[in-house]
Amino acid sequence: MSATWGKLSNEDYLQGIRTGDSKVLNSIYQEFQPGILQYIIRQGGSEAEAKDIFANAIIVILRKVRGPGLELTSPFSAYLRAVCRNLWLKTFRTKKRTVGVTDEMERGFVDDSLTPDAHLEKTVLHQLIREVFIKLGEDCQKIIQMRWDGQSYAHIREEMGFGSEGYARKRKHVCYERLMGMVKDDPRIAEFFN
Amino acid sequence: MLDENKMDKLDEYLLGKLSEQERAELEADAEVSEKLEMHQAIFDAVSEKEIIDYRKQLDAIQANMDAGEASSDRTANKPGATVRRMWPVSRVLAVAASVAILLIAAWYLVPGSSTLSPDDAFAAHYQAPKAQDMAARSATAEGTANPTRENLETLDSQFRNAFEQGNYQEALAALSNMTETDPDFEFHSEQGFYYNQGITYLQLQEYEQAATAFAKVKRGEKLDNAYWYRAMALLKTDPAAAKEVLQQISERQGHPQRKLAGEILNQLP
Repeated sequence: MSATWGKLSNEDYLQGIRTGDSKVLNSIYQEFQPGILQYIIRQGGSEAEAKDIFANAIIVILRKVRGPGLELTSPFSAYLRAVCRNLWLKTFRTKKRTVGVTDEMERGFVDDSLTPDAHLEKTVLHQLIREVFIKLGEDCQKIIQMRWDGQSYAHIREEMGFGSEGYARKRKHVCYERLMGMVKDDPRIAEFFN
Repeated sequence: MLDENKMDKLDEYLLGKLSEQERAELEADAEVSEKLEMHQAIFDAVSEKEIIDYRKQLDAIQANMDAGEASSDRTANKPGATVRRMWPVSRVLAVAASVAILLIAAWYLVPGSSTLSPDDAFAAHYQAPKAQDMAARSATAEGTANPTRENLETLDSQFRNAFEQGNYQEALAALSNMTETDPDFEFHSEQGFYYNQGITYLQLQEYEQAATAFAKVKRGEKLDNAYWYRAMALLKTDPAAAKEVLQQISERQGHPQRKLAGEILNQLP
């Protein structure tokens, strides 16, 4: 690390995110999360939403840093704030459409413009889908995951202790239909496909 | 609801196991294609194991932080502990609180602490325009007689097709041919033309030409977008001019990025 005492350089932060370095990630949480949580809560977000946004922001930066050409020339903190702000705008906009917002929120935050960003959209959408996925029963999760790992129904039958391959296939079919139904019914996810 | 055979085919499609022809057949199946984007998103979300593990790592850090805060809250609230260690704990907490307040204040107040360079502002807020961002027509050719009019329309179609396929040089060439086809082209001051030229230059990362083209858009439905993309292009070439345009956007009633422009202005050096 090219850090001076107690302070990491931009490259340290980006490299740490790229490699999942737990020391750097801890440092990012310790240094920057309190201010960002305060900002989002002041804008009408809940603490849980703010924490989710912070984690998603790091994933967005991970996706960007693994792509070409992300070189920061301003402080990492400012960049992280900008990403969090955009994620909050996305959340705010969805809330506005799906559950409505209070007058107090509206007064504090009237601008719901958002610059679209493919990494940001993908990160939020995938996280929402995974939230739905873990609501499926454990067996269903396992069956779908095995199938999408490229496993045969014979393998799934054996792993799950089912009586036949046909039954394994049927179970996968039912599980996936249930998942699809839950995804379709989630208004936050529907926003992405309108 | 898809039947089991189609579902198996869909799995193979998502896993990339189908031949070109089989893929095309499945994509042409209305029952599947209707929700194909959603199937793909579900598959990607569940299959990106590395990101899932990464997120678990972040959630563990969050849990540790929360547990740390909870445990320090418990310690602070324990009557015995408080009495026995009143002086040192309160002193440490007071110092820590002061430092925290100073740090938070510094983060918001010290000039430059939240400064974003023009390049980073661009990286944070710019999203490349898509085909649907194009102006509906590059040339209305009002008052232009045939065959010039028809030629302009053909060139507009060529531009559109090339842009949609990502052939931006070809798209730009089609636009350039318009100005040669119609000797009075400049006179018509085609707003869609300049806007489409600007977004094509943006795709080619030719920011100076993009900014020049957007500056020629003076009215019409794409005016707000032209302001915004001009500001983005100028962030890459002339930050002082970018700030002027952002200032104009921040003062422009009803501009969708009005507030964002103000915030970017505050962050720029």
